[in-house]
Amino acid sequence: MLKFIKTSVIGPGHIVDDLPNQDSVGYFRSNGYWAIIACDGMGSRPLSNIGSQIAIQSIKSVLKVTDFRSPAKTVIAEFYQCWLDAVKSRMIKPNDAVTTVLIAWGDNSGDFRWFQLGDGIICTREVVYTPKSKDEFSNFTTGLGLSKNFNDWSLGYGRLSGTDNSILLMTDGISEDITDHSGFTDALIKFSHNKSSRRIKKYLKNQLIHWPTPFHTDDKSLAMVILNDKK
Amino acid sequence: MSLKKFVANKPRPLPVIIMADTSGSMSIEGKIASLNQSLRDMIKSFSEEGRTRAEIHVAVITFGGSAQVHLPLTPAHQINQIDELIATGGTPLGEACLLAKDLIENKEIISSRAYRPVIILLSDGNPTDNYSSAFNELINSERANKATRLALSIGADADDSVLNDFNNDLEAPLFYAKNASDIHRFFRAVTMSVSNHSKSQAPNERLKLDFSEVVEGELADDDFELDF
Repeated sequence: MLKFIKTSVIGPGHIVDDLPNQDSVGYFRSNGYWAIIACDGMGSRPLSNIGSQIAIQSIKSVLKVTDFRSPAKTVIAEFYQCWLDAVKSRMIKPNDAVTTVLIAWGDNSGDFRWFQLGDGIICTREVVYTPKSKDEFSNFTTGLGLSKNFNDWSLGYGRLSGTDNSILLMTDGISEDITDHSGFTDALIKFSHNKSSRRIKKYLKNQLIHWPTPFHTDDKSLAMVILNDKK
Repeated sequence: MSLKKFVANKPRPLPVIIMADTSGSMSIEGKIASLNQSLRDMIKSFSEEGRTRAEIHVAVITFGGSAQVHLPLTPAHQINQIDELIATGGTPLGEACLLAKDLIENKEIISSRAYRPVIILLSDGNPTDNYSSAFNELINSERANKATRLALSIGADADDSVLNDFNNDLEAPLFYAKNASDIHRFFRAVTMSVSNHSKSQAPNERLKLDFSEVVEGELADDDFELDF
């Protein structure tokens, strides 16, 4: 049993500035595989909201037809090209639509691969996969439309099992304000136990809207998959 | 159940660290007086900012005779006054670099959730200590590398090669202050740029220094047609 939760709320700063939510989140489940994806459009780029939306669609469409064992560089090149083609087809310059990328891509047994370009956090209740160096001074330096370097990506493998049965993707609007990522994840998973996706989403949205950090401004998005939960 | 206990209850800081040469030579031609007034004006402006996106914090490290933390990193709105800088002694830049590195690498004082710090080095002379090792340690440290580093060269005797090495903003080259009023202009540019940056949509991106609204007359060898 797999349970997927995704939610995104617009940041107060974007409401004040009359800007759209620049984050996008998504997931799919297909032929024994699944993926959760979160993308954060770069604030200074005028069409980054569209860039992040296209990224979700591009990554989903490519991963659905890609061999799970494909080399990381091949996988990234495929969906990056798909994103570029889609962006250009809408007469948008890639540099105007820059977006970060967080992906967890797995199978029904719990094995997963993760990919990250730019900021945000990928973690379970026991492991923070995002490298420490990415968690320094709001390292919002790169994304699709900006990076051409494979070395800009962080990536790896993991396995969901036992009590460590859920993985979270958080855009920086959430991750930068969290003081204990594993504690946050653990509390969220405990809350989610035996609850419906709809109830978890409603709870989570309320938490994100009533965010306690003073002067927080950013959009906040989270995607989560839970393995072997009953509901 | 609430997730709030895992979320920071303080706003994200934007640290501004000033490394100020307060050696004896700063006492002539009104330089130290201009620097004192510039710092007071800058802190006052920062303290009046609405803190809508970031809370500006300021630290001042001086190096004149010896290096010391003149003002620990403090939210600008909590700074009631700053003690006068007094110009005296040699120019121990190396000592100042050690203090700056200790500050910027201290995650208790500058947490990872801070916006990229801005570090400003200003000097009117050559370092008088064996500075190169400490200087290189500072500018090559991981956190100082990510910071925006700006430099101000004061007068004709400043060591521009050191200041150029410190500056890591290729689009805002070394600023030259030919006289005391240029010091004030530089700080006005920094104040306006940091204030605008703290209110921008993306205060986590690298600070872009804009001299365009405060510069009168000639500026170094660059026309500063800054594209930001």
